[in-house]
Amino acid sequence: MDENADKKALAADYMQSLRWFAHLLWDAIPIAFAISVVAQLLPAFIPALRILLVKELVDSLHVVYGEGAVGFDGIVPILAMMVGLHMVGSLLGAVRDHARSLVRERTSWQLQELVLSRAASVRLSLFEEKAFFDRMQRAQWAAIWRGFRTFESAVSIVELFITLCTLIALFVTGHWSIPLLLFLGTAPMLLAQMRRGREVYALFHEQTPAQRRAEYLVKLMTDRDAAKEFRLYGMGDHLAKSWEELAQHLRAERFGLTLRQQRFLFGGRLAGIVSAMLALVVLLWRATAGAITLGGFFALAEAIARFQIVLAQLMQQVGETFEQMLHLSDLRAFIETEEEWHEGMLPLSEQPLEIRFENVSFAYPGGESVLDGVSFVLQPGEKLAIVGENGAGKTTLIKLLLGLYRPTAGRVLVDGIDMCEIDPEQLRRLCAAVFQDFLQYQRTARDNIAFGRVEAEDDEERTQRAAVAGGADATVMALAQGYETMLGRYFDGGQDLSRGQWQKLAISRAYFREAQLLVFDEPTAALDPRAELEVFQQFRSLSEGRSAVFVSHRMASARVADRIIVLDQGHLIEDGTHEELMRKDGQYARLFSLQAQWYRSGEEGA
Amino acid sequence: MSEREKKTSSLHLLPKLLGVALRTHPLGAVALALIALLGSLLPAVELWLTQQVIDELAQVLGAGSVGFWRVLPWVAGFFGTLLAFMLLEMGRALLQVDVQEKIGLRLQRLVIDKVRAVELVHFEHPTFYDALKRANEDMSGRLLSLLNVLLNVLSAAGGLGAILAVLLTGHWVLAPLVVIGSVPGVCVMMRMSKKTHWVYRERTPAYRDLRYLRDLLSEREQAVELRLFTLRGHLLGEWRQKIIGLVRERRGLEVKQAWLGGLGDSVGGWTYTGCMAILAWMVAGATLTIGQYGMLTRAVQQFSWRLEQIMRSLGTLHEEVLYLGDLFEFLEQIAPEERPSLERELAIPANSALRFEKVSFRYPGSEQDVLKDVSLELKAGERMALVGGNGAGKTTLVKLMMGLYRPTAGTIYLGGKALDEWPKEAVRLQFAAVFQDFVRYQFSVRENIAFGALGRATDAEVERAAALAGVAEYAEKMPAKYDTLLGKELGGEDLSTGQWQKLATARALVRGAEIVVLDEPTAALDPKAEAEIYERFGEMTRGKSSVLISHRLGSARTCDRIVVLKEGQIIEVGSHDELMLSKGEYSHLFRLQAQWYE
Repeated sequence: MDENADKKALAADYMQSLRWFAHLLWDAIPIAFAISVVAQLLPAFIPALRILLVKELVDSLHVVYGEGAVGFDGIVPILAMMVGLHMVGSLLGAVRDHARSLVRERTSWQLQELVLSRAASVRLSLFEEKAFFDRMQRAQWAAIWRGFRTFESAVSIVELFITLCTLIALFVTGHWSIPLLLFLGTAPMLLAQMRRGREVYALFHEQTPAQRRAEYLVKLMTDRDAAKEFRLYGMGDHLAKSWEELAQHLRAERFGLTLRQQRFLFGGRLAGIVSAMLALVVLLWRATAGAITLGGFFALAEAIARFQIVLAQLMQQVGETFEQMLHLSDLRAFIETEEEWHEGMLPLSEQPLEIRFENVSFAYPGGESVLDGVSFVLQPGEKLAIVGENGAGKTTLIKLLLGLYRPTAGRVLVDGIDMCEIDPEQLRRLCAAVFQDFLQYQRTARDNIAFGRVEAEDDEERTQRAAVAGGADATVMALAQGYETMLGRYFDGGQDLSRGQWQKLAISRAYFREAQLLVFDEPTAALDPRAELEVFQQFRSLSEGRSAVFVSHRMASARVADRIIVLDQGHLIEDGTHEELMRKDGQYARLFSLQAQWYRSGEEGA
Repeated sequence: MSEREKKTSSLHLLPKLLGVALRTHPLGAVALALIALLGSLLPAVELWLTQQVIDELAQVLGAGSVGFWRVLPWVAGFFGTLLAFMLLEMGRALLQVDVQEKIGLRLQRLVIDKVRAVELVHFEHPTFYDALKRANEDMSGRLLSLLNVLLNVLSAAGGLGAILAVLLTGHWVLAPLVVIGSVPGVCVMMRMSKKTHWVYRERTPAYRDLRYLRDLLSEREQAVELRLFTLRGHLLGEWRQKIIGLVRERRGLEVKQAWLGGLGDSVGGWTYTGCMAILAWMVAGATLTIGQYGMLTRAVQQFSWRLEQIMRSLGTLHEEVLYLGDLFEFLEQIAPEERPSLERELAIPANSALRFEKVSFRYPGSEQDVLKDVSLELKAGERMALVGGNGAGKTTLVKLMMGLYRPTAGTIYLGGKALDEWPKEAVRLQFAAVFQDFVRYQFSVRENIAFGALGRATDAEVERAAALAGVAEYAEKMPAKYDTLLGKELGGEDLSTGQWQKLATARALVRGAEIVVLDEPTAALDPKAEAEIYERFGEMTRGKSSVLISHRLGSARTCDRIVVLKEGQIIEVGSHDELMLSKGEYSHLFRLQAQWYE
């Protein structure tokens, strides 16, 4: 690829990102934003003015020194101007910092919010892609750490540039060759800094996967749930060693790069110093030739030193900006990831739904197909059980049913409308589910239930009804502060529950939603026999008049369903009632008898 | 701990930190200090050269143009100092990166080792967990800035002395004036840094809350429920409200700092100009040459700059040490796992029986016993089932058995000796387990299994265990078979819960332990896999003792003995047939489940 065109595209992208960012700030806080920019640009003139005053001062002193003590009065106005200039600088600094803190406050959350909001609304299947995680991580990082800095450096580049121009104007009063020398001397440094920024970013990018692995290892080794296996299997040593190797390797790589960069950075710096010295020599020559006064020499020498500092700052900012340019485009790219919702999607009415699968196939991005040509109809109000071996595609089918994934082939129709055309939020408003890996919200018991439908979180009676239905009421009552008890270990004073108790809360949460379609994916895996029975016994009465789908490995529980479908390696192989399928003596009948044998009385188990 | 105590104890941390630095990278740390000191002397040399150049020039300007060549050597001297300064600076920057990164890793390692060393029961304690989280988070960044600060103080202090000497050649009043000028600025800064730290400490829980909400909104495990329950708007709103509260508070501090800082800065402007006036007056009075004037004005600037740097560094130093206190607190205050006797060579005889004698257990900080007066024997080769409702204490019992927890009362004997008297490693080698919340290692299939017998398991053994646990069926179909990386987050293949569980079972099998614990091994398995596991269960545990926890009572009947727990106590013990006859809790539950299969 043409590298130049690449760079141009990058620069254009950066300018675009910057504009986008400036717009964001301007819309949010126009006054503070404008003040912060102006108050940062105005002080750009101060260094040159100060140097001019120094020149006047030294010249007066030189004259006074020659003529005697009488002239001190002439110096007083110069000193007064110096104080005045300093006061102006202090005032502008305070104004700038004030305005800047307002802007920073705003950006610190707004960018993060954009990222989070996008992360929470992209299509679910993106979460199956590793590249997506890498991108999200980089975007989050950029939002938290780069946010306002990016803009600050852009403005400060302008500020430093103005200062530089005023200093150059001063130099020309000495000799035209001085700014030329200084610029020639800094070109190598500029190139060196740009190269540094590019290389650092490239390495950062390259190390992201390995860095994630190292972070994963640390997380694993300090994780509570993993702690017992670690102790039992004595694997801490091994993992700590492999973490250390990896982390040291990454560190060495970074250090190696820094080390290699010293060579060209050294060249750049050396060129800078040599050029400054040459400029000083020119200045001396002009002074000894009588072309500039002692004050002029004094001031310009200081200007050279100042020029070097300003230039170094400018270089640093440019280098940083180069890095930030890339981070900023990461951020924008992420924020512009396609959302699952789009304009023109259809709403749904609040009633039991008919869901029809038409030759639905599904494959994860880059993977084999998990479902293959599945067709069936879920009638409004019907109770459907899905049965099959691990990996048969049951959970995937449910995710398709809920519109969380989109079929790779075939269609899912809701009341005759293609699911892809329906606003997913609308659809989900009508659904509730308990998943195998349900969440344990580190919130109060009430929130854990009311998160089923946050709009109704104040409905006390509904909460209690849901708790009773899900079997969580006894657990909640036993808690110190009842529904207001903080759950989980993440926060101070949080009370942890057993997995079974958490599961009951998850079931209550689903009931709280009072949805038209209720989905249970292995709702009772962690429950004891008594609680499990209660769940199934309640299931029919609680889903009265609504559709329900559940997956369970307890074959007996399928008997509460109106209809059972059996999946095998992504294909729908059987469909019917319990009696029909038992008569058919197929897969279902086999699985049922396998489990039933454990309970057959009189006879010995296998 | 009171604020006062915290302060004094935090001072003890400094030597500890230096200790860590010296142990991690002694050469680098010493070299850094030397460079900082050396670099601090160069400005004084530079000042002296300035004076020489200007004085020469002032003379030349009177005498005529021949003087150009006389000034040049001084310029060469200038060049030399700048070059030296640049080299020192480059060396410093490099060393610093190296030392900092190494120390960061070292501290992370210390934390990891600490976590590995503490008793498991600490994990149930929120304060431990909190301390761990804090230690994990703040560390490296804080530490690095602390080192920076230390070096800054060192280098600024060295330079300060040299410049003070230069200032005294002018007028004694200059140094005090500069000090007075920098006092208001420094006071403002110190106050602000104290406040910032206070806010940080006060708001730690709030920040944790923010992080939690952020994870809920953006992590994979949460993505499904977040979408399904349409929680996005609600959680995002909560997050926004919380973060705005926090940044607004910080903004208040920043605005105050902006204006007070401006005030301090303007005071500095007055005293600086005062110094200039004094110097000008001295030149006018012919007590100073123009060259000295030039040198001294620069010296005044440098003096005030360094003074500020030291003050600022000391302010941050104090603050950073406070933050790091959390880390060292974590590293030191929680006692590592200890055993009274450490006879490393002691081997546990094969076929040892395990016996609980009046064992009770409660979690630290809890008022309630999870297990009460449990007495129980697991004979060599016996297969035992543990049955009971959610929260009856089954999992706690097996954790005690494996020596992961220690009883709060009573004793557990293994092969006639108390569990505590055997070496820790020897006890753990006796056991293999599949826990309810087994770990899904984001490693290859092979590693996931081999973790059960690290360094011992051959590839053949791994594959045999895989075949036995039903892993082989799907592993053989994967792109790189047993070397396929698992886990979505790091870019590997994902497995279903059932497949993960089979993997955990294989991990337990490959261990070849004397006693096998299966804590709900089939909760997520389909009936076929479940039946297979139970059928193989006998084979897997032949000649070994085993303990099975299951809610599927049908599976319990294959065991020699069934123990029924209720609220931390044993209520029934016996074989399936015996318990069915006695018509107690077990037979009731069994009939409840069986009726579904009639």
